[in-house]
Amino acid sequence: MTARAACTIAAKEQWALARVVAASFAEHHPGTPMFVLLADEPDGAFDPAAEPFEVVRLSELELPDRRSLLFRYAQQPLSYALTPYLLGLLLDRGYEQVLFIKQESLVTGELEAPFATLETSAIALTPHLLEPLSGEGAADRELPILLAGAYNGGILGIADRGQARAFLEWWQDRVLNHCLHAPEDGLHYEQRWLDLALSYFDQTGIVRDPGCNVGHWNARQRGLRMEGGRLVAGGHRCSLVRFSGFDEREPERVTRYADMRLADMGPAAEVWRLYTERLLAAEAQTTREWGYAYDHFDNGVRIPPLARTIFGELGDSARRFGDPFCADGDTSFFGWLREPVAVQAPGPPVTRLWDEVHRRRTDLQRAFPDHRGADRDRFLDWTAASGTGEHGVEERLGGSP
Amino acid sequence: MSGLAVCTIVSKNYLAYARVLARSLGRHHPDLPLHVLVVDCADGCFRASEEPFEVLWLDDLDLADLRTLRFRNSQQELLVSAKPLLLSHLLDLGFDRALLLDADMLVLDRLDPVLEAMQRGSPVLTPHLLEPPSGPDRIERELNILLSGTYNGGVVGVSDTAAGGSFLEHWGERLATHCRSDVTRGMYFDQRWLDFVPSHEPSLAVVRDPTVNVGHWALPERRLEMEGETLLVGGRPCRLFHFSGFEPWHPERVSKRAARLRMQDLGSGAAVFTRYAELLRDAGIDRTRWFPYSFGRFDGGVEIPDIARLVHRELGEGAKRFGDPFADGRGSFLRWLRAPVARGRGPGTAVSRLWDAVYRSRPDLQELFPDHLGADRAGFVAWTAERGLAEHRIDGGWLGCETPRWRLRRRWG
Repeated sequence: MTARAACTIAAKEQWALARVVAASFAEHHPGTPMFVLLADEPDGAFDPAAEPFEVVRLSELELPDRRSLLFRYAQQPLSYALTPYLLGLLLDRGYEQVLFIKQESLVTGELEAPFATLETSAIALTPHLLEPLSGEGAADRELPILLAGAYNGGILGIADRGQARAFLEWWQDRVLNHCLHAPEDGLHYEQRWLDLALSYFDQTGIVRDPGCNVGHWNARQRGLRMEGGRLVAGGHRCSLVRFSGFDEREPERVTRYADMRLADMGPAAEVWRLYTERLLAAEAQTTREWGYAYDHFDNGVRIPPLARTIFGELGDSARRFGDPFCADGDTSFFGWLREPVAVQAPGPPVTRLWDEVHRRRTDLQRAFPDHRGADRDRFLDWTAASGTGEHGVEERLGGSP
Repeated sequence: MSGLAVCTIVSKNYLAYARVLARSLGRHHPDLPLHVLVVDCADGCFRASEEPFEVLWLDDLDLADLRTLRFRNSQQELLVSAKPLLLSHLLDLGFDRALLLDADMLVLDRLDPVLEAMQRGSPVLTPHLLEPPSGPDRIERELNILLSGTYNGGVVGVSDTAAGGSFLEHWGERLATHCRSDVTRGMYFDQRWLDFVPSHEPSLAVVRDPTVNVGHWALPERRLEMEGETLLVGGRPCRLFHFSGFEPWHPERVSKRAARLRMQDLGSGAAVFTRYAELLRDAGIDRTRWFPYSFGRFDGGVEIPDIARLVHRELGEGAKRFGDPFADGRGSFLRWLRAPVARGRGPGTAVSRLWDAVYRSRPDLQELFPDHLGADRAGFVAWTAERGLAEHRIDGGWLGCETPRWRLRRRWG
């Protein structure tokens, strides 16, 4: 008997999603364990031991330079970047076939196709499309998929043989610093890297079940609907529906990634409604309010997204700060962001954080060409009036030093 | 007719490349003639019957509205987007299998790994990279590949099967409308579309033999060395080398697309570039490279700006009203492009449809000149002269709108 497992990753605020995907997996795979990596800390919000599935803690993963990783990625890219690390952990625990399923999913049947692929392949990937799109504007609708990656990172599998470990090591190395959303540079979080897997690893198998991994990008084309009490897609029994970009607080919107309303979805809309009900039953209203453990410095000041980016771009030289969450002392990253840059005239200085903001924004460069000198007062007025709001910078970080 | 057809595509300034490829193919596969599609006119520059390959012309391919196809694609785009058309044509002629090779290749040994893959599946593709690159620039190199496509468009094999047909249909449809270099939108000529092939075609056969389709992207991981006259790749004789981006008039540069590589990084393997440059010279490249492309200008001799091709494409069926797109008389597309969308006071302040199209294609200009037909018009018009001509490689005659100068002198500069 092959030792199989499944896993997903969620922060506290997505905990209801994790509960739903884990419960739905268990309904169709009795006896196969589902692991949920908490990409966060419980902070008293809930008791991991009380959940009906095994919760894996961040501390159990072997992450290079953990505190730096937790700092340089915001919550969502962090959870994506952890995927190959979680898969590696479960192989280490002795599981022979492991499926990863992204947290915003509903298992609606036995996942035969991906597990079957793992009988003969070391890596199982699921394409976004199994055939070309047709109809008006087909090419323009295919382009976003080329930018996001031909394979969907929402479900993939790994079998403990052959090239599996080499694949995971390579993927881990790439997402360590390049799990970013910059399609114009060839990056789409962890997912775009998968486009290279088939070139490097010939033990990559492709899951071609139209009923597995149905989402907003293919639900209409595959005719997702309930038929005689069971869910079908593309003429097959549907085993996995993906709700990427869906938020139950805005239930009529199919996804934030495209302008699609539930009303346009035809019979598939029912599946989104069913999913909303299950999320609410899993206390989504409560868990959405649970904060994120790694969104602030240790003095309680919120970490602006830009501070994470700046830190990431410093690369190895950021090591000098030690723990980036630490806000104490002159050698901290927090202190460095508050240091004045090249003072050219008496008066309040521009700090490094705002200098970096200026360096990255052409609109500010046009409005304040000499932001350290002649335009400094106006620039500082802008930081106080608009900059703090636009970049989520609190007074204790962005105010005058 | 049955069997395998090997083919490539050139305009006449690439003739020397096709000659070298044909001779090298003939040396190792004497039974396989090279079919060369010339997307150009001979214009007295060469005689098809004297070439060491079988010449096909675009007119042989039975294409609807060839003039529009020629107009809407630049020379480079046409060379590339004709690939599925040529492969389909050869299958239609009765060949069982067709293999397209880029013209800038040299066959150094038998192509058995490719031919075997064509027995095994269809289509047949070669990945740029067979292993992760190493070194400090490894991620940058991978991102370049992700932007330009994981499979190289220089080797594409198809069989006369349902899968071959559906592949050519999708590729052909996409290239007909979306064969451009615009990597930020997911396009790199023909290549990015190939990233869908593993998803769509279960019968895809991937050639993973490192001695096939060796190009700058795979160096230095695929180690080159000369053993006597033989180029070895990782210790085995190289079968097919791809000189992508190599220019024999810059013999010190491995590829204009890979500044990171210097000839001295290639060790004794650099000799293959010297040899290729000699073969090209023997094949007349010093003459052929200057052969002018027959479809780069309007009938009167005015160079066609790339943006004009794009506008014609965007007009779709609406462009039919102009008739032949290459015409430049009354009622022509050219006259329409030069007509103003907004007139200013005084000479040289009007914005023509051509420059309006440039504006619409450039978010940075839209930010710089929010009201380019009104308050910011003067600034925008100044930009067209100071920067626009150079940035878009547009002839100076396109400045402003229809002018007396235009009526007096049909051929600019």
